[in-house]
Parts: sequence; structure tokens; C-alpha cells
Amino acid sequence: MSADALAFPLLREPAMLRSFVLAAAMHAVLITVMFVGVRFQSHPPATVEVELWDTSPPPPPPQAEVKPEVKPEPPPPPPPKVEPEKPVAKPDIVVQKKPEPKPKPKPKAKPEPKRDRDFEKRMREQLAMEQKAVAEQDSQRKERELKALIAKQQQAARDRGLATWTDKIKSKIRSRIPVQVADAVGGNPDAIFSVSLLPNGEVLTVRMKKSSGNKAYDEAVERAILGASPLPKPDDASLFQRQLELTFRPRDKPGS
Amino acid sequence: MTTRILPIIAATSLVALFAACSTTPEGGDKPAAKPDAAAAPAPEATARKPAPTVDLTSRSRDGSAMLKDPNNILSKRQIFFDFDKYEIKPEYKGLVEAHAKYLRENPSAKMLLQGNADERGSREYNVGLGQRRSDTVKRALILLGAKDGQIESVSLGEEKPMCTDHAEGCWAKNRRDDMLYGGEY
Amino acid sequence: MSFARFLLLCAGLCASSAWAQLAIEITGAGAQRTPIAVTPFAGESTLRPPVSAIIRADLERSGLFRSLEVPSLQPALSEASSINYAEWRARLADALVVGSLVALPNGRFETRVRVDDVVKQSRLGAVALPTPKEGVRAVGHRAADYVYEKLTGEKGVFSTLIAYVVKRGSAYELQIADADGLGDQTVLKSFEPIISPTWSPDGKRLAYVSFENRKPVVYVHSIADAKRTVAANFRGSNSAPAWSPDGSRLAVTLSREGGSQIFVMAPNGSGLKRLTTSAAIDTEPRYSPDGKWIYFTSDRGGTPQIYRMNATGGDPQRITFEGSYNVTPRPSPDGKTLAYITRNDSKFQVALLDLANRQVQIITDSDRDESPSFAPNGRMILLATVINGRGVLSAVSADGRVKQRLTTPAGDVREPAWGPFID
Repeated sequence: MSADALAFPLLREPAMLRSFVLAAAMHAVLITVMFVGVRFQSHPPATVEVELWDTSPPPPPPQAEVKPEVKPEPPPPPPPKVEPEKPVAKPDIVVQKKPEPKPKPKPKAKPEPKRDRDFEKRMREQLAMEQKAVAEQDSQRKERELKALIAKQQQAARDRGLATWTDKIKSKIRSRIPVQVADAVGGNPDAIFSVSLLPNGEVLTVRMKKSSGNKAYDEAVERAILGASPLPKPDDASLFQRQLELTFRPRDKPGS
Repeated sequence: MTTRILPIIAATSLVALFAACSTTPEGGDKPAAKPDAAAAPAPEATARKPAPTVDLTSRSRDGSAMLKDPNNILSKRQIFFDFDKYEIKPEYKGLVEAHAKYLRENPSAKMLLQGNADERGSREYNVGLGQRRSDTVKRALILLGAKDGQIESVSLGEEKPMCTDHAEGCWAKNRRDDMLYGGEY
Repeated sequence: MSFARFLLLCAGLCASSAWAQLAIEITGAGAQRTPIAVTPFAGESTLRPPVSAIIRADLERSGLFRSLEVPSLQPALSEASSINYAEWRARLADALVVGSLVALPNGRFETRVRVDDVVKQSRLGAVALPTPKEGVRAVGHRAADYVYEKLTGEKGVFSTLIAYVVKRGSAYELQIADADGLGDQTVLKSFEPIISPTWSPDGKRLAYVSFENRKPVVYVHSIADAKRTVAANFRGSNSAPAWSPDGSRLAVTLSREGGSQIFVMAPNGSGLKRLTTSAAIDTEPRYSPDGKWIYFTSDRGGTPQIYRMNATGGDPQRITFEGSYNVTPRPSPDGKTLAYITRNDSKFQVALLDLANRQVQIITDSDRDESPSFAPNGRMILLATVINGRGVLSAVSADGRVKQRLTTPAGDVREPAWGPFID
């Protein structure tokens, strides 16, 4: 037995064409993956549990509710909702319609039962169509309201998450500014610093955009920012921003 | 007062007269406090009569004895004051008068008035408070006839207390004037 | 999403990170003490005490630093070592002090000190100090001054002296000591009280009041040669001496003309001039640092309050208006604040008056405070107080935040005075 018999058959086609096709195919695959991936990402599946029947703005819920959950709920709710609505709508229309057919049968005798049945059938069909239209409008309206409510709650949750994160940053940096240096500043001027972070919260660069006018305070603030590195990160990773603009004042403002 | 002065003047002038005649000067020029100077007029030029001695030493011994005699009011040297006050209380009037009299009658006597204050407050301000108290007593003594040059009023502030409890019973004892006569300090 | 929009998004993502900025406002401050690591110096065990221990204690006592526990490193770090800043950041140090005690060929010693900013990862400075065998303490204080100045921008007071009076039994001693209370020396010993010691501006003389003559007399005492002269022994009481900032005059309180009034004279007693004319007690004069004003205590208004007049005399203006007993005015070295003793609800405490906005802050909560004295850098105030019936010295930071007891000898300690910077 020779080694050649076990080897794979050699390709007889020109290597260039084959490799080109393979390369093209890989590119296509990559682009498709990127395309689909970004498209998938552009709809972040962050939803919030809500009380379906409560249409008034809910009070600030505890933290647990903020956690986004992927739920397949949005599509199912509309159809079940239509069902309960039906009996509500139906009696109204039926009641309204009832007095009308009544006066009609009185002046006519024999041909009336026949006409009544057709009429009633037509009326029922019309009623059914109207009910369906109203129910659809209702369900669409409900769906829109629900979506708006969810969006609002999501935004509120993000606002809270953002506020918590900025509070943590404030607290950590503030705790590193010496009180003696701050007390020695005349008045309450502001110093503005531009800070860029690495994704893990570490301070990458600190740049003073505006001086407070007090060199010792400016230097103390810069040291406080550097010393606070790595800065805390938000619970919701999507809230993280790498560019911060920090404004410092040596004293709390009156009333704050 | 007049009854005492006249014989003194008479005796003195007679002594001086005879002193001028003799070659050795007498040591009895100073006007004596007591009319003990018995001057015997002896107009002899050569015979020297024994000059009368004005014995001040016995007088001062008597004087300081008075100052130290526990039965004598002069041995009482302290005047106490109320809190934040420097007026002399009526109960010390007699004491002040007695000391004024002594100073008057013993013009060479010297007194050191030391004012004191209780411990509360700053030390230097308390020196000022003590000074106020000693100044008050000095003024009173001068009004009653003592000479300004005889009395020095100073202050010890809170530095020489009689007791050291941190309570009113002790503080009352430290708000005082002490009177010291020459030789005692 | 269309492909076109996708491409646009790609392009956008590349540039968006430079535009989106989160704006945060931070007010106030929270750091009381800077954490600092002072490592044992290489070779410091050759002389006693170890110089790093003095530096550590001085910085801690200033109230601005918190000394971190440092592991014993073998070999010890020195000013020549390369510093691993990340390691010291991990130990939570903001600043690092390293150094060495080196024996020089001529039998002398040298202390080398280096200070680094761990947060900014840079060396702040280094210095070499000649060290006599018996002078390790003084060198340690100078090194602490150097580190303090590099880290705060202010002059340190660790090399300054304090003066105070100790009463033991029936004996009184006027002593001087290092600012940390150690190394005391007796300048005057007496069986009668001594009060109001005050340093001449050049730090070479002390003026004080002695009761050795059964009355208060002001003396000027040269510390180096123990020679003293009578500055004021007029009839009556002589007390409350205060040096003018140029050292050419002494303000004093004399009762020679009746009452207690403020006079000014040369330190030898000549050139006497009366400044106040009242029927009240005017005492405790103190010059402002620029020499233009004299602050003093007066009860001309009924109760003791603090007034200010021109240093050459003139109409005094009242300065204190809160409370019914305000005495012992002591202006700060920068002239902006006045420390004094106020009676607050029958307690005597230290108050600070901001001379610009007239705000008053009481900075002690003890009971019988006396004799507040500013450090020459204005950052700490030395004072006498009573704890458990015994007179002791304590220090409080000028902002009232830090309080500490000083190591003082046994006995009743009172009348502290903080000496000037010694060049």
C-alpha cells in the first residue's frame, strides 16, 4: 500500500478560481452575520413587567422591576382582550337596536316575519362587522397605550439607573477632595474637567476645560479624579458612557 | 491735735536753740510723735546736757505689735468683695478706718495692697479686676487721711488664691484685698 | 432596517463616541485626611529615634494626614529606589515618603528624604539634611516640614517651639519645648507665679509677668544666655506684655496712673507712652500682624469685650458683639481671623471671628479654655484647658475639625504661647 492511495485526490481545477469562490463566500457569510447581528441588536429586548389593567402612571417601583425581561407577551394580549370586550359592546348595540325593529313589525303582517329574518340577519352581520371594527380599534389603541406605557417605564428606569450611577461617581470623587483646600477657595467658582474612561471604568485621560481660578483647588480636583479611578460602573451596562464632563464647585449651593 | 503740736514745737525750737550753741550736733531734730521729748532749757554754753532721745524704735515695736495683735483690728488685713463688684461692703468700714488712722499716725509706715480675683475668666483680666479692688481700698484710705506715697496698690489676679475648689464658697474667699505692711513683704 | 441605513450606522458608530458626553456636577469636598505612607528609612536604626517615626507622627498630628500602616520591607526602600506606584495605589496611599540615613566619610550623617505623589505617579521632590548625632529629632521635624510643604503648599510648623508655664506643688517653671511637646527645657524657675509668656518676633526672647516681687512685673528674657532685664516695674501692677511685629516695642498694661490702662514702650522700658484713656479695665493688648492695630480687652461698655484701636492710640472701635464676656484677643498670622475666649453659657471656650464678614464660630466644646495661640502658619491653635482637674495643653485646627492633646510634663500646665518660624 502506498501513501498516495490514502491521500485525498488532488484538485485539478485552477486554484485561483476555487479560492476566489471560497473567499467570496466567507465574505458573504461575514457580512450577513454582521448585518443580521446589528439588526438584531437594534431592537434591544428590554421590556418591563406591567399591570395590564392599570392605565394610570404607576408609582416608582422597587429595583427588581427594573430588570428588563424578554417576554413574548406583546402579540398575545390583543386577541384575548377582544374577547372580554365583546359582551360589553354587544349589549349596548343590541339594546339600541331592539327598540327600532319593534315599531316596524306593527304596521305590516304576513310578509314581515320573512323580511324581519333577512333584516335581522343583515343587522346581525352589520353588528358583527361594527363590533369587529370597534374591537380592532380598541385593541390597536390599547396596544399603542401599552407600548407607550412600557416605553415610559423603560425610560424612567434608565433615568433612575443613570442617576444612581452618577451619584456613585460624584460620591467617589468628592470623597477625595480635601476639605481644607475647598474651604480656602473664595466664593464658589466652577472648574470644568473633561474625563474619558476605559470600558472598565478606569480613567484614561483628564483634561481641564475651565479653571476655577484657584490653582490649589484645580490641582486637588484633578488628583481626586485620578485617585478615584477606576470609577464605578452602572448596574445597567447600556447606560455606561466613556466621556464625562464634570463641573466642580468648592461649596454646596445654598438650598441644595 | 493742736494740744500736741504746741509743746512739740516749743520743745523742738528750744532744743534747736541749744543745739546751735553746742559743738556736737544733736540727733533730735525730727519732730517726735509723742510729747516725750523733755527739753530742759539750760542756757549754759559749755556744759552739754544729755540730749533727749526720740525713741522711735520702741514706738515702732509697739506699732508692729499692734499690727499683729489678734485683739487689735489692725491685725485683720482682708477685705472681701461680692462677685463682679469692687465696692467696699459696710461691714469693712471699721477696718478701713482703723488702717487709715494707723497710716496717718505713722507717716513712715508703708502698705502694699494686693487685690485678688476668683479664678473664672482670663488671667490678665483678673489682674485688672484685682487692681480695681486694691485701687478702691487705697482711695478710701487716702480719703481718710493716709498719704498716696504710703500705699502701693497692686494686683495678684487669680494667681494666689486662698483655696482652690471650683465653687462659690471658695471663689468668695478669693475675691479680696490683702493689706501688707512694710517688713512683711 | 435597510442596508443603506446599516452602512450609515456603521459610519456613525465610529464617530459617535467623541460626541456623546455625560454631564455631572460635583459640589463640596469630603476628604479630611490625605492617606500617606511613610516607610522606614534605610539605615535609620543607626541613630535614635528613627527619623521616619518623627515624620510620621508630625504629619499625623497636623490633622491633614492619615498615616498608613506600612509593612516592613526588606531591603528598606530609599530615595534611590524605583517606586512601583501601582503597588502603593493598591495600598490606598495618596502620597509616599521614603529616604535613608547615610553615614558620611567625615563621621557625620545625612538624612535624605524623598516624597512622591502616588496618584499622579510622579516624584514631588527630595532633600538632603545634615544630621548631627544628637540632633535627629530636629532633623526629623525639618524633614516633616519639607514633606508637608510639598504636599500642601504651606509652610510646616514642626520645627517651631512652644512656651508654657508648669506649676508643680509650690514651684512654677517657665518652659520651652518642641511643637510636639517633647524636649522641654526650663527657662525660669520660681516660687511665685509666672503668667503671660510671649515670644519676640525673632524667637530669641520671651517677655513674661513674674510675681516674685509680690506684685506683677514685666521681664524680657533672652533664652540663649538666660539673661533677663526688667522691662516694666512701675508703681502698681505691670502686666500683659505684647511685642510689636518688628520687635521694637512692647505694649503693656500698667496701673501707675490709676486703673489698668494700655501703654507702649521700648523693651527696656524707655519711651513710655499711654494709649488708652478710660476709667475701665483696658488690658490684653495684641498687635495685628501688619502692626497697624492693637486689639485689646476692655469693660468700658459694662462687660469685658474686645476692641481695636490704632497702634499709635486713638478712638477704639468695638469688635465683639455676641455674648457678655469676650476676652484675650489673638489675631491670626494672616490678620483675617481673630481668636478669643468667650463665655458661652458659663463655659469659657475658644471662638473665631472672621474679621471680613463678622461671623463667629465657637471651635471648642470644653469648659475652661484659656490663652489661645495661633501656630505661625495659622493652621492650628494651641490652648490651655482643664481635664480632670488638671491643666493641660490642647490644639485645635483653625477650622475646628481636628482636636488633640499635647504631651506635656506632669503638673498643672497653662499659658501656652506658640513660637514663630525659625529661619
